Amino acid sequence: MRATVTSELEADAETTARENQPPGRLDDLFVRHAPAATRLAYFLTGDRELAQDLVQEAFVRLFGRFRHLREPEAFEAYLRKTVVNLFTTHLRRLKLERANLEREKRQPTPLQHHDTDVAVKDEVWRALQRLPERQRAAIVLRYYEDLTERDAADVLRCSTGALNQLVARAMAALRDDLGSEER
Amino acid sequence: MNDTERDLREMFGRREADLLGHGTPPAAAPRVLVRRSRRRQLRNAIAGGLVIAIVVAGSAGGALALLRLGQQVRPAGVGSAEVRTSTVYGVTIAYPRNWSLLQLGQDATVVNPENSKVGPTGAITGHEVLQLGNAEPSPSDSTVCLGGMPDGVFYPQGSVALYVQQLDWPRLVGTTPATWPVEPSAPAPQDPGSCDPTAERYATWTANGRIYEAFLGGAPGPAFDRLLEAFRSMTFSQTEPSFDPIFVNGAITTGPYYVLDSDVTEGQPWNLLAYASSYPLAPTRACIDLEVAGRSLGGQCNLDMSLGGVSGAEGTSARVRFGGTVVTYAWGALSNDVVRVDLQLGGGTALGQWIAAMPAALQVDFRAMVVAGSGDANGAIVTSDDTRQVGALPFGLDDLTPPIDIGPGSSSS
Repeated sequence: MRATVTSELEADAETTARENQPPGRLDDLFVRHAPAATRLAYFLTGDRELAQDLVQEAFVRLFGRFRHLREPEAFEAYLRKTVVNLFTTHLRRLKLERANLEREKRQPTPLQHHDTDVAVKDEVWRALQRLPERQRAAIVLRYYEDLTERDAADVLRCSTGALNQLVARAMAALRDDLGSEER
Repeated sequence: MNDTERDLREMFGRREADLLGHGTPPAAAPRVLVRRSRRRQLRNAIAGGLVIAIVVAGSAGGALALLRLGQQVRPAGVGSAEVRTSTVYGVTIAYPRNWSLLQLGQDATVVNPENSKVGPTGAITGHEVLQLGNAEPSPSDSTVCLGGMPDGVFYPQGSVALYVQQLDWPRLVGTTPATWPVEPSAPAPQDPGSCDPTAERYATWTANGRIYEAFLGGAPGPAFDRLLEAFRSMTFSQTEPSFDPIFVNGAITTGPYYVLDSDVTEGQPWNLLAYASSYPLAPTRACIDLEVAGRSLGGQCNLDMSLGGVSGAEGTSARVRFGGTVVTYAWGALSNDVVRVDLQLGGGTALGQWIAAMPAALQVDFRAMVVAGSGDANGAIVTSDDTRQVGALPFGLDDLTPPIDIGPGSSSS
């Protein structure tokens, strides 16, 4: 009987072989797109390290896929869509993984560790983080990414009507939230 | 702009400035991603109990594997007389059995530049449907002149290939695509992908309210004539695409998705598919899926195989129901020494068994199989080599496992 081995040695050899390939698009794409994607993920998650995790996850998933893109220019749109999709559908799992890691490390949570005083005091920021995930994503896509209604709806995989509803509900919730804090 | 919008934009600005003030832009990332991919791959494998690490070394085994791989490569040719008919996303096509069909399943994103005079600008969405060639595509061979091929998929020199995709808009301004059937023609200068009119044909058409386009590549000759026959054989139905390969069980799949075999059982078409599943830059695994009437049974990459050999047979099962008919399918991997598969049932009716070679590109050391039985089908899948029985797998599902409904009114995604 034969079987395969998934050993560290083989994985290292494969990694080395791939890293020895000619300068790839992988590096270029990461350098070009990771910072903006991380900012987007940060506004969605409210957590820098979680945002980095999410962006890495998005890159990991897209690296196997982007070679099918007929135009590399589409990568940015795919990356944005993947980040938002991961945020809305896979955030719970990522949070869980992070919680496990944190327990292992017995360290404070990243939010407490990294956020500045200015950020903590930012009421608008906190109100945004209290929004449901899809509403928050709609707000970030429309007012941070400045996407058109159509493009934002495409990222969220919904109609423009549904997007407008998300934005309207989110804005109403923000107004209520900020108004009650002021009181 | 109201106050809340202004507050939001100011907050985003402050936060962005805060973020930009922390850290430096990345110079490179692959090592981080590589480490993370490997860690996740290993963690998933261990957690899922999917990998049993057995160290097997030996040049004889390696040589044997190489020999088997060499035997699996399908050379380019005119095509056998034996025809296979497959249905991919509602597109049914008949082609020589020894040709290679890929089910694509990716979004067909085409970025139309701002200065384009053809169609709307920006990202155009659609759906890649299929690719057919008289040789198995690889990422390293020279490409035939096919502007429409997805990046990274190439065919050997001298081969012929057909690529079909569905788009949300007609490419040609002012032209409504003709209703199917149409004949492909040498591409006009404004057509996409025209690079060598003598070696490429292009067609766009409407069928069932959908707009399709196709590229046919390769030099004129008997193989290209056979490709034209396959093109003309296409028929179209309204089956919705069911494949969204980006999120699969926490891993990703990396196409192409090879159609290993297709048939029609009890009136329902099925495709046996194989493809790679892995995190990039980490060891690859092979998925074997069975789609019935465009629906993936058990979910994508439900059967995730290591690339090494199997002992006898390994597989999984599902039961589907359409109308009043219930069919139980089992599909999986089969060791190379097995020459016969028999379905032995205590009740019900054996509907057939199929054995298919795996694509050389996946570098696996086994073949794939499908068996099907109807009614109260319970029994065993018996595998034999030239002289004796080499293994048996239980066939059938307990009554508590509900069948998957396929047919009018049931979801196909």
